[in-house]
Amino acid sequence: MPLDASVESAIEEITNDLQQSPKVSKRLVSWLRDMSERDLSANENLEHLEALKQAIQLEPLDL
Amino acid sequence: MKIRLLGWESSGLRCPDARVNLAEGGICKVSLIQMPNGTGKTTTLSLLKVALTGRARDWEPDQVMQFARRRDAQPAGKFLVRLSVDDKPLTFELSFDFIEGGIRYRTTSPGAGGVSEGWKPPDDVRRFLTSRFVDLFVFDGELANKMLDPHQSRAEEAIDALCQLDLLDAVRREAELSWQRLTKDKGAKTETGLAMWKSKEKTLAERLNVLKINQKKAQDELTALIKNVSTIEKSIKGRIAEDKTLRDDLQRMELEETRLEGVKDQSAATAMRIIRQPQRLHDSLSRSLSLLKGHLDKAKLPDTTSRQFFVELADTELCVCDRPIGDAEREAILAKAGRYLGNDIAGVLNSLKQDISLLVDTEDPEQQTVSGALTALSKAENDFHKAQTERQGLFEKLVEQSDEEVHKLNEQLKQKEVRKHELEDVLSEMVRQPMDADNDDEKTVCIAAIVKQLDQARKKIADITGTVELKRRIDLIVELTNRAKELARDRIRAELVTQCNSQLSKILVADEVQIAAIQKSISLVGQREASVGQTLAVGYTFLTAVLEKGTHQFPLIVDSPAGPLDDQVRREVGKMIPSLCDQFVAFTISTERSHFLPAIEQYVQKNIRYLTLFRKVSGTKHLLDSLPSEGVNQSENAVLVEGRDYFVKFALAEESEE
Repeated sequence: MPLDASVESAIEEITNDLQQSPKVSKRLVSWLRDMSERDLSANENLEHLEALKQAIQLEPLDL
Repeated sequence: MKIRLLGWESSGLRCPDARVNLAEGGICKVSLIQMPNGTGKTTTLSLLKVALTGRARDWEPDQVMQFARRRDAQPAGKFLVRLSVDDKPLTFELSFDFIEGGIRYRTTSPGAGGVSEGWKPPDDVRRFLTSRFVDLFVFDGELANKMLDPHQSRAEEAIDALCQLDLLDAVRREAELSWQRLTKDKGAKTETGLAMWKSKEKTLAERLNVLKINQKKAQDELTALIKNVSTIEKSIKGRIAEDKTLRDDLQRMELEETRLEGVKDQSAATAMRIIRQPQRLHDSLSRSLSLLKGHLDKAKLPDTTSRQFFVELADTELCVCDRPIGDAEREAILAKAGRYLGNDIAGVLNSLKQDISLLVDTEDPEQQTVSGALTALSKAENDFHKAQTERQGLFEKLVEQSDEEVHKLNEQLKQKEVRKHELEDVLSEMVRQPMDADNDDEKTVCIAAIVKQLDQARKKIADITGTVELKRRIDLIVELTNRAKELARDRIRAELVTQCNSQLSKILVADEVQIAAIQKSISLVGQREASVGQTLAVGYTFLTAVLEKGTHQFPLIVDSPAGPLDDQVRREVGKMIPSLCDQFVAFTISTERSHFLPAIEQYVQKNIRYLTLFRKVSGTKHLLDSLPSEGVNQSENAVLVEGRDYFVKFALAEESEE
């Protein structure tokens, strides 16, 4: 089931603003779509969260 | 998700006993239930909300009693609501106990295992049956007021719920929860913590490097010094007094000193070996061990274990006291048998007894004790030191009798001996085992202690690096979801303002009102408050626009949809309602029909179900004589009539009180 177009476009814009790849927005939208269709189990939510975390790229820490 | 209201049934409650079927012959786009004032519109609407949300599960008795009849009180009541969720049936049944003040839910859903006690909707529909959602589609005039109330946030909540912005909150919550779970009971997690540990690691690594360099230098110096001392000693011995007797004495004393040093080391090893044997620590300990073995033998332990005794006892008909052992006694004996000696402990006791027999009872009384060994060690040390002192005295005497060159060599020897001891002390400190006091001491010279601290720092860094990275990812998800939600909501609000204003200009021609902004609530252009009609029109318009944006379909259930509206607005609202949703269910009174009904009928045409429900009371007695021949369902206290003709003709001069 599609999300509101405003939600998807906002996610894409903010993802870009945070200098993250489109993979991040795609994984977040995919999670939200799954959520909008049914109540996800704890494991399913965890799988989505892990996928989203893996897609995030971090700059090396400057300590 | 497509939810439809198929009907409801009530009995024994404040509202009349009735069975309302909205699905017979197919669900109509509009269902109008005409109920005179006092027939229980508000009660029915409340019951629908209570049944759908499951919110009565933790009700107090006085809340339950609000649904009991005031007159003709019944001990129990029942309310049942039937839904279709994506074309699958779902039923919630509430059983009221007006004696105890309790309430019980029962759910029937083929998708969730058939009939089950409690409020148990299937997982996929549960999140739409919260108060936040249900209050939006079971709509009353209060909701419209709340949407315009600047102290409330119902407009924002409606946007968040229907446009699914709250899913972004759910993602944020999942991320934050996972962070809390993963970092529970851990220490420093911040970048500052990581910087601190990295600095500590650097200091310790530098310290270890310095110590290793110093250790090598000291070791090299010591090796050279030992060689040097040996050379000087040889030179001195070669030049000291010519007296052969004295020189022979010195040689003999050196041999004796070496022998006595060996005796001292041997005595120390013997004392250490004896200390490790408890029966030889002291006579009283040896005697106590023999006594313990004697007591165990006397108690016949562990030949028959106590636990086994009780297990066997539980299997007999009579106890040792000759009283019968029944099922309850047997159960108690077996349950408590575990408290007593078992086979595992028996094994330990047998082993202990065997060792006592072997090591204590058969021990040679002449065998050395710890006390004897320590006395022997003390004597060996004294003998060694005495021989050492004598040898040194003779050596000094020989040096004194020698020439100036020997004196100088002897001075050099003494200085080098002092330095040698210093180096030996430092090296000994460097290679010793770490102690507790070294744990946080970055300046210790103990190399093993620094290595241990360095290992800990590196483990901590690895740990924190992982958590700091995780925290940065979680923070990014939180920021992404928060900012995306705000951005999406701002855009949706702007779209809704334009859309609603366009609609309002058509509806409220004579009494125009425009939306200035939608924040937490809806604010109007140039006015702080709106009339009842304006409020309802703005509420409907807003809800229509939000429902259009939403991707799920709900029935819209409304109490008195046109009650406070004037004729013109009623017409416009009547036109608008068919576009609100696929199923519109309205509770009306007869006076609402004018202008509202014709407008709805014009736009929906024949897809309307007309129902009229009234109580059997003295004020409606005359109606019972003129009921139509078809479409009538009567209960003990109410009449339900289906059909347009009866609906449009129905009127009561005086409506009874509920």
